[in-house]
Amino acid sequence: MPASRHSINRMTLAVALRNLLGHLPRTLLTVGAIAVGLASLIFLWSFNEGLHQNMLGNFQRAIIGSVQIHHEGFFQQPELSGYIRNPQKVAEVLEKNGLNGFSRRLESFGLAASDETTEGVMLIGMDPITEPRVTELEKRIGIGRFLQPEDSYTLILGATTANNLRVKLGDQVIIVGYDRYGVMVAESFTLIGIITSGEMGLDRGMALTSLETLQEMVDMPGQVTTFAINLPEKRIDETVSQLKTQLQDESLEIMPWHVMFPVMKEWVTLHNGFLYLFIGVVLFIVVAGELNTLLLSMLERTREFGVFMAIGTTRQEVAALLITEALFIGILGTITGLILGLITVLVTGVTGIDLSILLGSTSRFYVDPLIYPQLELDRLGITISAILIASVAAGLYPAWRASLLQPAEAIRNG
Amino acid sequence: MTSIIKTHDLHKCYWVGTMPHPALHGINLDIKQGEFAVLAGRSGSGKSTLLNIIGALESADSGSVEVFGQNILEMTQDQRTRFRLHNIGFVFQAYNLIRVFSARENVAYVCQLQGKSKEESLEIANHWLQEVEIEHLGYRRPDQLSGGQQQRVAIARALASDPKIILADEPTANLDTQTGRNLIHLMQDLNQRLGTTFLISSHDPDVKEAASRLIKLADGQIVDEWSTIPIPPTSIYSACPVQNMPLKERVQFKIKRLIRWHQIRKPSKKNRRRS
Repeated sequence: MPASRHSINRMTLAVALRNLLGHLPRTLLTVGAIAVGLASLIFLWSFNEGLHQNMLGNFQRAIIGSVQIHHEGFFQQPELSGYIRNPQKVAEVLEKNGLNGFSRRLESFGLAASDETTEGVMLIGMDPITEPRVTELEKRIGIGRFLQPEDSYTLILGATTANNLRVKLGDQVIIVGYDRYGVMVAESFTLIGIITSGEMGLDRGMALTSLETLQEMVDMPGQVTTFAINLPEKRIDETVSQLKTQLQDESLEIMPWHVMFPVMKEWVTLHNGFLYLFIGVVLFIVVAGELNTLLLSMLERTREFGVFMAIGTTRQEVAALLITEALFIGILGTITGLILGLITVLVTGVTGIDLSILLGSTSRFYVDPLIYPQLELDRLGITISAILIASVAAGLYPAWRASLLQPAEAIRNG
Repeated sequence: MTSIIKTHDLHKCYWVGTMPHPALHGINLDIKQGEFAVLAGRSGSGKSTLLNIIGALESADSGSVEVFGQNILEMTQDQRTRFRLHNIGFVFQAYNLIRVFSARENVAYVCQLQGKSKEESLEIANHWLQEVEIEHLGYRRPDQLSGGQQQRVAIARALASDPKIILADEPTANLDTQTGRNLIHLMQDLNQRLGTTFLISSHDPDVKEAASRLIKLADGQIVDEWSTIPIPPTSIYSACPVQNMPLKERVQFKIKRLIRWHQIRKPSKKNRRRS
């Protein structure tokens, strides 16, 4: 190619642009298809992210928190003998790391008994002041109220458990359990609240009381079995790693939520897998649509390409012309799609998307009825790159076909 | 005069499925610099094929085509493209201007392909549009020009690359008689003033009349040839120059040539009616 052939490159750009403008309806249709495809992907990514954040957030804030610290082996065998030996040091380390969103708990299994029947429960003693920093149990009390610092021998039950026991607010419920030495203990509690979350894990088999009360009942003053910590999703793994290093001499297990409940993580991975599949389908549609347009355009202009070649345009330049057109379409479609997608995400990010209209109750899956899409910049970058690459890829085949044209035949038959 | 196009035993056959359609059959041709040569013949006689092969737009099955001493059949596609760009100008029956360019840009594009700057290319384009007397229409797109005007732009485009040869395939076929004649005069004028060689394929009697050399093709062969300049050595008559012919053959040849001249000068009634 001659050294001063830059001007012809500019001409290629000009020809490409004018060709696209010359077939405005077709160009707009293709650009529109790419834009809608990209906007859909941006929206879907954001909706998916919002849904997962909501679901995982709710799941963690329901009861387990983001990270839990126990004595080694407690998670597999939750007995009071597996209490944390040095809770003071754990609290100091957490505070030193700026992790103020934590709560102490004493957890055990027990039996709740009413006048009529009994029900197995997970007995959790929690600090009424620090617990709201980790969970949103307070918001899930449908009937009655949450624990107060001054409470003594008060109890909160899940709705299903309360229903099975046939108890109502103010009723006495006997809790039978074992102390740290394995001796059976029983105390009478006043029912002050009923959890009506709709989530099976909370509504059935959960009995909450204040930490102090339970410590007194099982004769473990000042002792805890669990530290529940609230953390942003992105900081979990890094924090767990830090804590493991700093507390390595304490015989503790420091477990992020996804290690305790891997099924939830797997569900998110599976859901993302479906989304990747959907993205693949959208990309395929974008490529097929653009390929169709460019191929049609190429066939329509066979004679013109023949003339281009006859007067001295090289095959590479003819191919470059079609790839440039594909790139223009891709860029235009991407910009339009980006604007459309961002507007959609911004608007729905404020208003939220009400899933209850479509799905009814979703609380069983820890999902709020209102989902707020959240834009992830790295995913946005990947989506834009994928659309642009797909657009250029769609131009490769017509470009290759055009470059193989024989000038005389193209002029004769075009 | 220097030979600039030489073909030797040129053969070309098209295939439609398994059916062969011979287009050229042993063409030997020698075009001298500065000629205004016309390839005549009925449709399907091989005129356009010959023009395309000479113009490096198409390959031949066998034989050789030398343009400026280079055998273009041995060139690669890219070499042919570069060769066309610097040596040959094309004028097509359907004008074939690039519709998204203005007339001026159509002409300038070829110069830009040659590596000239945009400004220089536009300057050259203005010059050639002036030469073909449509400089004032330079800003118009092809669809805003009449057929004659488009063909003038096509001629300006063909000349803009400063080629030694212009190959024109039925340049007047899509034009009315008067516009066609004007175009022929323009090409003749350019041929005489600039010395550019024109090789034109045409049915048009006016084009034939303007020819300095007429080569008639039938069924892919040169069947007749006439020239106002010395006949090229490869022509069918040059094998036996007129002055060396016996008297009887010389008289017969001159009568034949006179009849042909008459046929060329005076179109048939049918042609007159058409024009």
